[in-house]
Amino acid sequence: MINQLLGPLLKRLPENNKLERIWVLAKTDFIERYYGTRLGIVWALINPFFQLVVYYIAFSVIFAVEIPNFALYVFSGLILMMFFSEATTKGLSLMGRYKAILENININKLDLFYGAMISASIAFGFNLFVYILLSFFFDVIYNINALFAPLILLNFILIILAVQLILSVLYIFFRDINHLWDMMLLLLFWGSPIFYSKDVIVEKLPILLYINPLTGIFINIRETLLYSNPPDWNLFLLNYITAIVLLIIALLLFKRFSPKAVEII
Amino acid sequence: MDTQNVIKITDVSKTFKVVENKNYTIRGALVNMFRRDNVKVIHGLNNINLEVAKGEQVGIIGMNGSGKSTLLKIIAGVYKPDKGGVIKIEGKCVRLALGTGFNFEFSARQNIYINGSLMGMSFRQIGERFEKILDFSELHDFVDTKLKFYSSGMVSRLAFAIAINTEADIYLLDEFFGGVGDASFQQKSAKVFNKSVIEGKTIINVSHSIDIIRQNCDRVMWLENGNCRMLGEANHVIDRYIESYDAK
Repeated sequence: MINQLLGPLLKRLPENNKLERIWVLAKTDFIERYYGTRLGIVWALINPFFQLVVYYIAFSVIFAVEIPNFALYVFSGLILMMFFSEATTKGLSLMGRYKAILENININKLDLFYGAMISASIAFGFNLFVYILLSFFFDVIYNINALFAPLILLNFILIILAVQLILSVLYIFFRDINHLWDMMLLLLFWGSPIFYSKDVIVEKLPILLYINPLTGIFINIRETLLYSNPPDWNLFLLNYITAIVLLIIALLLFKRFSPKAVEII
Repeated sequence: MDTQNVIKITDVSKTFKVVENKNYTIRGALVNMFRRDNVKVIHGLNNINLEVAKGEQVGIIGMNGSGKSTLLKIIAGVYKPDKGGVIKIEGKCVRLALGTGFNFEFSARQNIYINGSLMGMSFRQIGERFEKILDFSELHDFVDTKLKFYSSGMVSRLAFAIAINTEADIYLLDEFFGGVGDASFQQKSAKVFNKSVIEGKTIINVSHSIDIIRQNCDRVMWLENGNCRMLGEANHVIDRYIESYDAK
């Protein structure tokens, strides 16, 4: 299906091995993740849906949270968080998985990460599509502010890429970093506004806005896609600065340490 | 030699710092925080110089652990040499070792595209050579079978067929002829790397099989414990190598 969607597009571009290679890596990664099983891509959709039902019941019935359009609020938070945790976990051990290839051919190791990022983005795209379908049932009306959402998502992708690269460098030296990262993800899961509103953060833990870059992303996605408001510009700017600083650090670390990867991993 | 050199390495050394009993984990780092690491320096290669002309076949021989694979990885650009070493390579360089780089959950067709693309071919080029690859590997009937159902011989044949159809100027063969397929396939694959078949390609051949080196290579480098013990005309070096081998 992906092939039919993007294959013709790729054919129209000039012949470029680098793009093709990234595309092949993305496709491989995606097929490996979802097509090995009978239900295939459906798993990518069932998972957040199942989580949505569980958390929605827990929070709206048991804890009685009052947020307008709470089901969609939770769903948007969940799919963003899933995107983040899947992509970063995958990036962690990426160089290990491609060791056999890296040992033989001197390819740009960043291509592996671009490929994995594209694959994760496509899976997220499916979830986003389901979210938008659902939103019509909940009478969400989109206005011009929804056009800011792609910019916020781009910001999110840059952050994920930076985190992936930093983690993969750490993985070279600490093979058990994945355990620590799992705990970190749990911390981020509850430290980001998935179930609670922006107001709770501003009142009780405003520092989260600054130390957890996911907070601003989640808030602004909801503002633009769910509530038809313009994004919070302070957070918008802050998040872009965070992303660029993180990415520069990540690229410097990666450039310095990734040649060692083939020798040590 | 008047032809142009496509590989020129000068003063290349490679040392590996190996920490004994070190496991690369956070737990290990914490437990051993106050213990001095017992660092062992291994001299993988010492001051290697080599010039290879375009179209030349050079063999590398030596015992296990003498640095043959390390040298190939350095030429391929996979390992970085120590400071001071200079490497000049002209053209695209591929290190070929068998049975690696495949994804066993995918069919031969998919693997040909993945592998070909990683080796630097465009989709169009792969498409053009697709039939040739299948012809050579004799796998027409299994092209859409997942590789995990292949026998190991079939996997090797596929690897070989893809490898020889890549567009590279320099091939670095790392034990590439070790038991690929049955006897008839071995004959066929050995022929491919005879000079008549690949013209103008530069080949560096690492092998334990003295016969293969003797048949194909013009010059031979003999590595011993990371040092270049001898470099020269193939038969001469191989004879000295066998003499020293017999003397032991």
